[in-house]
Amino acid sequence: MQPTQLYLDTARLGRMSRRAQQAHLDFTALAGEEGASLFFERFLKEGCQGWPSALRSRFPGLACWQGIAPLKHALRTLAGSSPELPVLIVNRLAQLMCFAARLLFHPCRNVLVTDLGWPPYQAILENEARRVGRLVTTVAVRPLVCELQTAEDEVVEAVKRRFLDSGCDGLFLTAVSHLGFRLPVERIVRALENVRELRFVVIDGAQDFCHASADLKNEYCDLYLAGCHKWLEGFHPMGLGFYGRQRSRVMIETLLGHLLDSGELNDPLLQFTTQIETAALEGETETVNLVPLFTCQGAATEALERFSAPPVSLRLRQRNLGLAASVAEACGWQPALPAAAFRTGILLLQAERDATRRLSACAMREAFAGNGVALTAYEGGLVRLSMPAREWQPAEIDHLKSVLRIVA
Amino acid sequence: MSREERQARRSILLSYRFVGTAAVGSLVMALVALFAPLPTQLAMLGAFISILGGLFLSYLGQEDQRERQRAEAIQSLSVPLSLARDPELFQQYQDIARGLTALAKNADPILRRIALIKFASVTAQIDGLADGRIVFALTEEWRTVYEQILSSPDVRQYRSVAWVKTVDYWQDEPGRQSMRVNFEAAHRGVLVERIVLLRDELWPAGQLLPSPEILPWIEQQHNHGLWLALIRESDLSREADLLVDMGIYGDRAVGIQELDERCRTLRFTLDVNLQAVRLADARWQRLLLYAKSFRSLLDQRSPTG
Repeated sequence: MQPTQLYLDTARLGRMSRRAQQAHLDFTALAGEEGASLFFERFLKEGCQGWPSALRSRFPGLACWQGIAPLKHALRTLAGSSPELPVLIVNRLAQLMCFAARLLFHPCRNVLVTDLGWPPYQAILENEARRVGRLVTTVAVRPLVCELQTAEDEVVEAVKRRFLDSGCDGLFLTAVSHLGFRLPVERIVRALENVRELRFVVIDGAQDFCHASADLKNEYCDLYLAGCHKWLEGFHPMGLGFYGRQRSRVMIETLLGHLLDSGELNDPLLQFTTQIETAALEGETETVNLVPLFTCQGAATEALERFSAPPVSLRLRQRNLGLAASVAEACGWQPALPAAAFRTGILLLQAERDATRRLSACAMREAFAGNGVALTAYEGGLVRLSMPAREWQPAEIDHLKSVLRIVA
Repeated sequence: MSREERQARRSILLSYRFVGTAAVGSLVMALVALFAPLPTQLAMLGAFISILGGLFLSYLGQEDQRERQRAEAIQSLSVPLSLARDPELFQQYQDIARGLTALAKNADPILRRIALIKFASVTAQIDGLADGRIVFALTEEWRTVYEQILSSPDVRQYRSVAWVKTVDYWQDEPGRQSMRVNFEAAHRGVLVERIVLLRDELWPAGQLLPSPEILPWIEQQHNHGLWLALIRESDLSREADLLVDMGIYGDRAVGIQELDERCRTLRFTLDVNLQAVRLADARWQRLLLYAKSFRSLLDQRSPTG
């Protein structure tokens, strides 16, 4: 197997950005010298503001670290919202999803989801619904989204119809599905709010944040879930929960406090970041891996420099997607493109040959990896390619073309 | 086999009563046949047969009376027999029966008269309980039952209508404790929905949110995840029957609280029957037509509050 030449995989982990790498390296060096000293603890709380210039030049990758609050500000800015509003930082995004399920079923009887959701999250939601004796209703939008002529209005209308017919009062939507279909989540929320009260809204933005449409300035959802290890390119897994809507901010904090106190929500990083922000650091908390905080700060700093206007990078990715799709068509692959309104920077291809379609997902992934291309593969001859946020280099597109032809 | 049992199984033809009576009667009839003329013999025979018939009919009458008494005795035993399947209720029955028996031995007429009045009231209460209705008057004791129902694992939904006439509503210690039970239930997964009926002075017309005196109480519930909706009392001026303080516990029971002007409990009636739940549900649906969700009001609030 040869080293990767084209990394087109963000389904699980994106690549590590340059600044995240620098932060990681310098953090490792600092940890080697300081361990968990008081100097290190002060650095953790306040960043390197008071450092002499010699020390700064020894650890340039940590220059971006100013403490937890500035990290949250940066993340909030990337989500298109007021930097003053709160953000939850957790080790495991699944923990945050469990919390979201608890929040949803506090006031809601029946939560509407689409068939584009990430199955493990849907399972968490359904488990919670079973526990408290409530309902989860699914609306099938995938067939609509996959029709090339479908407009946004039709999807919004289909969701609204199901919402009304099923007597739903809660909503859990995936902004961008793992297969790359984007939903107009804000439009859907507004349309539903116009016809009946929406008691609680959670958006799964794991594939949306720093990629497609994450824009929370209009406060359309109560909780927005994201991660910094996919499109943000922080690499080390870390979950993020954005909230702050007028109607639910204190409610979320009240329930969070209750679940942390009762031990039902047990995330060491969440406890640690909350304590360090409130200057109430206790010695009895679990020892936490802090590396993701620094790599996330590095990645966020780079993203803020690079993504001054997120829609621009999405348009660039979509241009790359158009080129890759036309190349694939000529190489024995069928692009599974949704209607234009639902496209993102993720391209789904299906092999044309039956023999290739019969390959297992694992064998397919290995076949591409053996030719220097990292991507995500699914059963049925499907592969998922995440488009880069800069234009294809001629050599890259040539390489992709030849590999697609070989594997097809 | 005991001696009595052996006697009971022996043929009546061998009993002394039969043999003695038959022997005496036969001897008398033999003497009459020997020494008396034929008409006398016939008269004698007729008298014997009439006496025998009379005795037989009297016996049947007594037997009928005995049968009736036996049936009544068995019927009175059927109450403890059917209660015996429920040890807790049977214990109560026995305690009451023991008390009544002890009372029956006391011949004081004044005590007896007072006891009968008291028992009439207790009987009315027991009849109410049998119909699924429990009434608590002039006491906060109902909150114990209320808390037990909310803690019951099979109650997964609690809908409540709070008729707030003053800022004192549920602000005393029992009220705050009940509110804590609400919060615990919500955190456990019970869906708690509350419609708050507010006097106009507590939510003046034209104001987005209720007055600061009552707002924290409403916000606290909202922050614990309860779903809340508000109605101004004046909006229900044409639907006076909707002005009520009630709770619907799943689909099992309905509680109606009556308060005085200072928000102290006058009476709390708990109805554990499906018909009462249906009626309360219909009231709830009508109230929803007037209700404004507290969440939607918060959405309209400016960010500075």
